[in-house]
Amino acid sequence: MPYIYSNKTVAVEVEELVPRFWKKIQSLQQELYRYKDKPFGIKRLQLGGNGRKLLVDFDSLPSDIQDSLGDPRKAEHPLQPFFEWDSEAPEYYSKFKRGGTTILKSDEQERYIINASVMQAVLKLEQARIQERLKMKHTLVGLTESLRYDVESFQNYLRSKHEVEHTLPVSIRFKELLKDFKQNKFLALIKDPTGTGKQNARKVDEKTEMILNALFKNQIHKPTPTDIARNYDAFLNGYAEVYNEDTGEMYNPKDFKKLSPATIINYINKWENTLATYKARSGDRQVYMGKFKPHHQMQMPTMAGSIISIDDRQPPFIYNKQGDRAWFYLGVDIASQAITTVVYGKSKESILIDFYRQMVRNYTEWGYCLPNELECESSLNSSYKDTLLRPGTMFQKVKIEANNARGKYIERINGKLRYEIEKTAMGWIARPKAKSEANQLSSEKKTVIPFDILVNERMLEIEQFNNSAHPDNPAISRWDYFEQNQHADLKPTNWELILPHLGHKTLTSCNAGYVKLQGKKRAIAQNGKILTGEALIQQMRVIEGKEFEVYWLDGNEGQVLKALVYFNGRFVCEIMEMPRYNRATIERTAADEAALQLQSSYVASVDLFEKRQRSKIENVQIIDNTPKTVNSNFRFKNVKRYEAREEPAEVFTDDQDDEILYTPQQTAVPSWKRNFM
Amino acid sequence: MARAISLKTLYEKRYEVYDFNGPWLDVLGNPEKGKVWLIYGDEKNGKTMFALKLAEYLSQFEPVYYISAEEGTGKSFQENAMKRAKLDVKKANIKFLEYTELDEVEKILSKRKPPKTMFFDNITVYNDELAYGRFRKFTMKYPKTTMVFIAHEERGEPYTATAKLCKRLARYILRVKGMTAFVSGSCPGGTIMIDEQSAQLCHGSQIKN
Repeated sequence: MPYIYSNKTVAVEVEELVPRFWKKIQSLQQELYRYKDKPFGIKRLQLGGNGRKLLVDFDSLPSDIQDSLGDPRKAEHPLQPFFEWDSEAPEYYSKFKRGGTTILKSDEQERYIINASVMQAVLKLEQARIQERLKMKHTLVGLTESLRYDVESFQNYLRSKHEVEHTLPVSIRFKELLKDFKQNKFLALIKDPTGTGKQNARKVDEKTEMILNALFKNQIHKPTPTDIARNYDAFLNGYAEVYNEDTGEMYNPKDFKKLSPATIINYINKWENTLATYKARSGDRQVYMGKFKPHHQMQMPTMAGSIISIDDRQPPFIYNKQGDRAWFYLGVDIASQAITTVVYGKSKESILIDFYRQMVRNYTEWGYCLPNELECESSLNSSYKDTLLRPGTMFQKVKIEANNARGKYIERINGKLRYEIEKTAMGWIARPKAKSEANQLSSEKKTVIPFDILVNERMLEIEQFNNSAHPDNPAISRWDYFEQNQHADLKPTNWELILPHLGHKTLTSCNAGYVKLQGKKRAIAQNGKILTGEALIQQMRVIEGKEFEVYWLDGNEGQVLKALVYFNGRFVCEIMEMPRYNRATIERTAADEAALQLQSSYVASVDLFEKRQRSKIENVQIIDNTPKTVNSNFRFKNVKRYEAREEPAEVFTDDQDDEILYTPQQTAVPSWKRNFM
Repeated sequence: MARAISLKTLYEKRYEVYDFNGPWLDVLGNPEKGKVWLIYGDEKNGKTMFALKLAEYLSQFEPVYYISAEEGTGKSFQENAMKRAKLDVKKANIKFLEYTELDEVEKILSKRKPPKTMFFDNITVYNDELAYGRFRKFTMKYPKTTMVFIAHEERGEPYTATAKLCKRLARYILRVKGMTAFVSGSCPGGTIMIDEQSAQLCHGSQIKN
């Protein structure tokens, strides 16, 4: 076969010409030589010899030889030169979703890719044909018809060359398709792109499905799907009327088709329908969320103090015959899984504020900053939303999970406590419907454990839990992990903001530089240091001798952990216990000396201020002549008293010479005032 | 006095015909020699190329004279013959003439061994010489010469009145349109593709059948 040599030239090898058209190679060579320099006749493309083959130019051969050899450039079909596999179509069809939901099947995609490629070729051919016809003054009438015929006959070419077939219409519909394809491109080839094509044949159409769901959801007695099937049957047979409460529309049974109970049950139980009806019917949000709502997936924090998760919990033990269980409120540091704060009590409400106090106490005494973020349930904590739990007050961030058990990490720790630690303890109460049989209720009777013992046992268990191995670092305990991996960027406790909400309130006053609280005289301080000098005087000016509120928090041993003075609702200063020193000089230690010095400078500050104030005052006196009586109508007769003399005192007249007469200066220019006189 | 012939004589009459084969046979059958043919079509639709191909084919049977009156034997005509029609220099028994006055042509035709086939490319050039009934006289004068006239087309008809007359008198009419010759007249009829590629581009694959 002749083959394309370069660009547009086609080469023919000698074997194809000899002996078919030239008997001997010599005669071919002679002829090649003869026409070598002539503008016509057969021509060489390449000289033979030295490994090369003699090649003859196909175009220079006589037409009958050309016809019998066949031109490789010649298109077998008018569409062939324009046909190529479309590069955009596969992507388009692989991403297309019918009706926005269903991806096309792969064989359907394949079909459309073939069709799209053919249609693209048709568009190119159409343009070429228009040009050709215009050039030859040929009418454009019948152009589409000629294309339709080409598409039809192209099928053979596709079958033989590519072993595929297109499914384009070759009827009158081709014209519409061509127009559509020009406008909408690939979309035009998709059958039923909106996915509504099969809707007409449906027995359960959208309206029927809605009515089934509505009957299932809205009836207050919570019917079963079987009930709905019965209802629907009654509706179709005219025994029941179905109406829309909002619009007043009465539904006509003739508009609905007969359905089998199984169909109705299946439709009601479809996920997308249960999703909508379950919430309204069940009312248990936790179960609804567990069943239908996807949850966030997060990575665990690695630094202690990043986030603390808190929740209440009733350990499964009872402390009286009524079956009451103790309330615990736990806070777990998520990264270390260490339970850092525990409070307990007999009711849930009473322990929450105490829980936050306990957290402050614990973290302060351990010397760590409060956690950065809090994760808690909504019911009790929401009341602190705008005070203690406002971001920036106690925690920098607060995540209140409203009725979303899965949202809090501590639930996982509660599970661990329950099944890994507490389960073997005496009096543990199983859940009647626990998932695992091993965790279900046994036939054993419930044991009552006295409250104090119960609490003590639980606290010991929490200790055990904190001292057990950290799941990510089995070499160290949870508590060790907590201690070793404190986040470096935690903010120090903001006492000024949290104490008004957390602290105990005591009304007291400042006398002689000391504020009395809990029976002890406390000195004025700031930022944990007792003030002296001018700073002390500044604060004393505000509070000395006045009544004010002190908010304070007690430590784990009952001592005052922190006490802040608030005057008229404004934070003023801190008060601290004054360090004492030994009265006997011989017994004094270095600390005592420091205490002595501090106390001395505390006292000296006031003394100095007194002196300074005193020196500011000059020796100013007053003579007060205010009459003390209204008149002198009442008099004792025999009493001696001061009497004013009757003669008036002589008054000297001033010298005449001293009088200075005022003579206004006369000016030549008359005053403008004169004009008005 | 004219002599009428009987039906038997008519049936027994023998004519000289071209012994065509291949696609030519399918479309034109075996045409009778010495008749008038007309090739017409719009410009650049392939008239000359087709005429040359036909001339080459007819030259297999009898020598052909091709009067290239319009184009002459200039470069474009040479290219048309060599590159497009691809006439085989060894086989084609064709002689070319540039524009020759009709009287001269008549002299050629009146020779003792006149050419049996003559192409006139194209009739417009000979319009003056063939007008006023001279066309009929001229063609009837040489009944043994097959004359192929080539004419322009205007509004779907051959251009100039002479060409129209030629169409009426011609036995074989070949209309060239979009590199395809549509054959009609006293023959089976059909289409001959002058250049398959261009013909299919213009008319679609339908033209093949």
